Amino acid sequence: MSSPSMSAPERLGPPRGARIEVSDVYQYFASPGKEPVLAVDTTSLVIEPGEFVCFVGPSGCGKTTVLNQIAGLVKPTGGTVTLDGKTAKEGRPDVGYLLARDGLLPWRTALGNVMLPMELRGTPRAEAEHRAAGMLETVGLGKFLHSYPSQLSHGMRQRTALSRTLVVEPTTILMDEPFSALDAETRLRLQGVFLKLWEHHRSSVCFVTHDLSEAIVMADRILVFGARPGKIIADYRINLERPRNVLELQENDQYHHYFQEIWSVLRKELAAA
Amino acid sequence: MSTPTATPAEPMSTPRPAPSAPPPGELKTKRKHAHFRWSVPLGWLVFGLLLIGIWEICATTGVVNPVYFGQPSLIVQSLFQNLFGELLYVHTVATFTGVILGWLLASALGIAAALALSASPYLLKVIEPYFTMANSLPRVALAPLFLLWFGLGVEAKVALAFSLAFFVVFSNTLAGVQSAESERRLLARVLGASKIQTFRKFVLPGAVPGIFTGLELGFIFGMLAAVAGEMLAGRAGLGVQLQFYANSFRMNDYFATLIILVTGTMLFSWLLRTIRRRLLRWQEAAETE
Ligand SMILES: Nc1ncnc2c1ncn2[C@@H]1O[C@H](COP(=O)(O)OP(=O)(O)O)[C@@H](O)[C@H]1O
Ligand SMILES: [Mg+2]
Repeated sequence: MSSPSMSAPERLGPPRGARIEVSDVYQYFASPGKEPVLAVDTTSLVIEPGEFVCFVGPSGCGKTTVLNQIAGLVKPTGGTVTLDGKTAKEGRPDVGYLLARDGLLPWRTALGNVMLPMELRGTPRAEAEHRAAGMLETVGLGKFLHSYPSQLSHGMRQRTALSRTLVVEPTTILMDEPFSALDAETRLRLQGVFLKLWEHHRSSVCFVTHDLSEAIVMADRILVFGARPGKIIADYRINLERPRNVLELQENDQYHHYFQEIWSVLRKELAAA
Repeated sequence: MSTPTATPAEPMSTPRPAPSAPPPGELKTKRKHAHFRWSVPLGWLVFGLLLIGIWEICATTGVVNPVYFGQPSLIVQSLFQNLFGELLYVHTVATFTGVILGWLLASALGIAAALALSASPYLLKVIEPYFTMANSLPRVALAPLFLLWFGLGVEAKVALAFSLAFFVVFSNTLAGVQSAESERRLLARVLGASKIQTFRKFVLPGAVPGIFTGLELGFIFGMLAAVAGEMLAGRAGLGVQLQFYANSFRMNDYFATLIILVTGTMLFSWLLRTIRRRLLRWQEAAETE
């Protein structure tokens, strides 16, 4: 943990992210023998290059659906999603995606798992290995390069998955409750690790969470989703100074002020859901 | 967050020598059941010798009739007499050649068919009922037919071993391929993997444990089918000999043949398991956790 004397703030890197534009998007899901469900009602949002945006809201209100539309995994029933002007499509090399479950391949070591995205793109093996090892070093797993996922703790596995997502330096990072399966302490640690990396890289981030305090600590902007059908009902800007320290923020007055303000809105939605 | 000041449990003025913990290296290498390392094999030996001893005594005292049940000491004698004779060189070679050929064919085709069909859910659905039907058939019932078609040589053994091993390898491979979680396929999509990459890097490695289970079981079932066929008819083979020895009340030779059969099959299974362990070190890692 950083001592106060060290907190001469390092400078933020320049923003490098993509501009994400979601325009008048709505989403129906058809299931056989049932009425189509309106999962997302007409919604628009813009994520500026290098902006860190969190989605919060009750479960089932369409957060994952919008995220997957941006990832190109779900094609919106209506409306458009563009990244730097280009229509979203799955498997773009400049988009990183991370879920709550790590999805590590059990037959690959931590190093092998982090090398995977580079391998798929034909990066020379030596370079891929060098970058993967460096990335794992950064997240504090330098001693576990050759461990299999089954030999790693929950938090270490998620750090490996985070490395796999970030090692190719995506300009857009999409995360669906990435830390929700971790215990409180590990979650704080990983929030810190990710925040530090992001402050350096400044990609555009879309981060889904059901944990409001996590959203405030991480985000530049918080979008609150309302329940059924899903829709964005509030948009907050979080003007906490960067670089941020996850642990110190827990005692920050401004942080608590944001929490109360947003919570009063969120609580009504949670009760309605 | 408020940090309550901790009250030291003991006054600082009375230092005590800290209890020395064992060096971590020792703890790690110490196996959970290390004390079983010698006692288990010893138990096997004692248990085996006890059974053989009782059998020997029963046979010599006439509690059981050695004409029907054989006698351990004479079985060992028969085994040594046969060890470098016809039983080993002609019949063992005949049986194992047939089974291994049938098993190799079944493995190659079973794995290939499962991998190919897993790519097409439609074809799989079409073929499924026929496979189930073929697999429900007691394959030993085909032995007379195969003997008629292929004669008394090695071909009938190959066909019988194949007919049983194929489905075992096929269904285990298919289960392995289909075990790839949807999450893993999602990851492949997100990372922009091509169809071939998805198969090679995300699906196939996960199917290897299933394939090996199929190979091991396939060999045992192949052996079953081939020996059963030999007992019906055949020019050479351990099954042929078993039938012959039983008919002529040569129980000691009968049991010696069984021992050769069991030993050969166990050796082959051991070989497969060794290869499996080499290939699947990541599974070992999970088990020792
Ligand atoms: N593939 C799908 N098929 C049918 N319904 C879906 C599908 N994905 C999501 N839904 C439904 O859409 C709604 C929104 O889901 P989701 O985006 O996962 O919400 P959140 O991530 O906010 O919890 C839910 O009611 C869910 O049941
Ligand atoms: Mg969700």
